[in-house]
Amino acid sequence: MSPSPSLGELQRWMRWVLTHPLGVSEATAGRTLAGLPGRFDAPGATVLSAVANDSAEGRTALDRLAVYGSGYFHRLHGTLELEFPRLAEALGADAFGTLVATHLLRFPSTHPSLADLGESLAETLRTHPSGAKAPWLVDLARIERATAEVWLSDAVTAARWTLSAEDDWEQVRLALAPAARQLGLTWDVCEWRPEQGPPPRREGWLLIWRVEASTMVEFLDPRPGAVLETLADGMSLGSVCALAGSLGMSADEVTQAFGHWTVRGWLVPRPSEMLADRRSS
Amino acid sequence: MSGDVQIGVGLRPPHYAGVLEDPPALDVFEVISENFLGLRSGGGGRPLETLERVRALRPVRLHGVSMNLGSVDPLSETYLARLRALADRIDAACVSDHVCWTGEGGENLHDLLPLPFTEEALDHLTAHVHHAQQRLGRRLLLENPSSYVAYLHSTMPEWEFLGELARRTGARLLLDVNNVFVTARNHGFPPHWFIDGLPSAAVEQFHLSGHDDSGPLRIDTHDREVAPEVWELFRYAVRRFGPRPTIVEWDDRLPPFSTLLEQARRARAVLEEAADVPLALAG
Repeated sequence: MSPSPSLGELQRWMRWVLTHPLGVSEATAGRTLAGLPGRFDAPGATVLSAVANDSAEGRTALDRLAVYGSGYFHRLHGTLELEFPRLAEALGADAFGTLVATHLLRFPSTHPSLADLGESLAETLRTHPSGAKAPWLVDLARIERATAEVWLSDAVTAARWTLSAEDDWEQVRLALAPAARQLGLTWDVCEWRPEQGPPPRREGWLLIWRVEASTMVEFLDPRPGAVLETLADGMSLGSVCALAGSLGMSADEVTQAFGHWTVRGWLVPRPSEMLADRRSS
Repeated sequence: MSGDVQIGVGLRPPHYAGVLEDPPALDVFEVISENFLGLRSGGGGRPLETLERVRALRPVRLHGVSMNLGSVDPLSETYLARLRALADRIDAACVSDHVCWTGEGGENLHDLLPLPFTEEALDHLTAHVHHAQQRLGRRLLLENPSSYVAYLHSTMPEWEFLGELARRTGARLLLDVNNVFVTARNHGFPPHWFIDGLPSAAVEQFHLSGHDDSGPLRIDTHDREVAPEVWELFRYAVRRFGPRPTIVEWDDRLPPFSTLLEQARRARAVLEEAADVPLALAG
């Protein structure tokens, strides 16, 4: 018992008790769960005796701490529910709540903004019983996360750069625009609704990008999708053209695909490229 | 009312479109800073594009919830740099956050957690506020949070703690009148003690919002109209400190924007009532 804990002792204990998956009462009673991450090991000093108590119903020290403890879970759960509405609907309230609890154990928020909280939810789902039972939900979660990310990234605008005769075009390297995401998918879940039953398999690529307030999606077939991914990964244009040829794409198909991607604004010069200095207005 | 004593509301995403289409008769908007910092990887995205359009209409105040000023963790330099860039970009009318801690050990709880009112906490907070003000290049406004927990080892009342913090750092206080009421009810002291105990020169702005009074503890929910007792306390605070810029906040179960405007009009009436009989500022 420490009636006058240091600020550090107080905050370590409070963080532990307020985020404990069993809740404030169980945690302070010494209950624990097997397999919890190390940050849920009970801190040495207990601060409970330093929290003002009140014998009135609903106003004890534990009741007071529980306001923060339940608020922690509900706030983060609400954030993820807003970001993953279709996943939440498909799983149902109980399974989605379990998924969120598992996610917070694996990936607690470490940033001032809640915008990054859902970054790895698809990864959590992949190894979660719900994801094993309905693997297409992992693709759905990735789509919803990518949609959130393009909303929070600088908008795509139509291509404002050109290749000129002086460019050593074979060496040019490009990247996806900040508000564009490319996802390799296994399932046709882009417009899938839970009441339709399991979706069909459809291997390919999905481009999600934002233009002003509109979020757009476009499905790409496997070959051009693979070429675009390689291009966006930073391979030089010359090498990408060679790759496209090895995948059986004709020169016309490559030219057409590249034109389509640039008109859409999906590709931008990498910052280090000289090309970036010659963007037309 | 215009000039120094501005009235505004906390602007939230469902109301953006309506406000941009038909700008309301308000002097200023307040927004949650973190909503415009985008992803960790950078960029403010659509929210920032929208904020710039709002800024073209009215001054904007940045109100943060994650500076983590009271934590034993070091302040996030990345957060401060991005907040400064945002404040500079929109020429923010002010930057505010809370006298609390929001995380420890690198983990963020996204809540306004109470500090003990001790010399240790005051020293710690003073150093962090100095650091944040230096990084932000401006004076901070610091808000009193609502609290449900109090610590037996506190050595001074919250108002004394806040007043001393303002004195040591030069920061000013954003007095949330609803939070005063909620905290006072939850910890069993008369709310006017809080108002009476603050140095009036340090109080620069007011906040108003609604709270849930249905349980044994009052909960600061920001999901309903300002309670009658809080309006009364607001009148008391305005008499004590004089008219100050005032923001009405509403975060959950958002009503039509007209409801916020009505609350803002009511706040304006209280300030104007006080302005007719100005009080000398003590401090």
